[in-house]
Amino acid sequence: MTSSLRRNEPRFRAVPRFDDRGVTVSLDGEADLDANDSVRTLLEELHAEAQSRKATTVTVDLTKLEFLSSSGIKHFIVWIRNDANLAEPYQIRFLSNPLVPWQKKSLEALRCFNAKLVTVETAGQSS
Amino acid sequence: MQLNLEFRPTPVVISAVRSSVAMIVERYLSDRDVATRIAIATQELLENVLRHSQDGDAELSVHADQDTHRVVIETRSKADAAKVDDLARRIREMLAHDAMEYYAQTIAAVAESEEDGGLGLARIYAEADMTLDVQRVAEEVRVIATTRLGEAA
Repeated sequence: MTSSLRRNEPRFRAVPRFDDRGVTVSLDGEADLDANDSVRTLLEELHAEAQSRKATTVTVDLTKLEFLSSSGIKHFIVWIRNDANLAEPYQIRFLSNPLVPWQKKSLEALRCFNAKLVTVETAGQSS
Repeated sequence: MQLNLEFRPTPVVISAVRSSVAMIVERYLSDRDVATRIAIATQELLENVLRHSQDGDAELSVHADQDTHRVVIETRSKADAAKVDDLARRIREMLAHDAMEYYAQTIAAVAESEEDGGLGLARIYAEADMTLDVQRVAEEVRVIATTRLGEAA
């Protein structure tokens, strides 16, 4: 399967990158209600792409994502749940930006939802 | 600082209002963390108005007071009485729990739900460190989020 995984909404953008380890998607802008469908379909396509490529890790780079509404957080929760339901789930790695205040608690909540699959790293560091 | 707005929420308008409120609060308080918490609460409260308002109209007020160290956000809209009662019940239940514990429980519940929403109030409580109250005045529902400055964990 080949998916562009690219989004170019007025205030929300997604850019994918593929390598041997898996898939990285960088998000940029504001993911609120206006971008809700775009976030949902992006994560559905990302899940399919990860399975197609037998990826071991999927990285979501949030360092340039200025806002994520609870509607968007719910799509991430469903994505993590769908990954956990796979026979061989892939690891989900979030790259965060400490200068964007919402990310600390939102990403910690996502990590706690499934600590076996989800890790959160500050961009430029590794845990 | 007192900010009052009357408008008809749409996704685009809610985004613009959230950004504007965050910018004003950040300039007034010189505190980006508080501005982000207010932005989260504003977004989530207005999304709820968008979902549940009977006539589509909303009023938003934001009051920040450096002397009392309090920030209060209030939305007013017309809502079905049964929905207001359900909201009040959910808020009472939420406030009886630790914020992060309740947030984790809510996340686990919405993961299995096909319905939109369900996370906003818990996010205000846990991430924005704000307590919530709901009042019904005639056909109007008032949802009030309050925090004290410097309280965030």
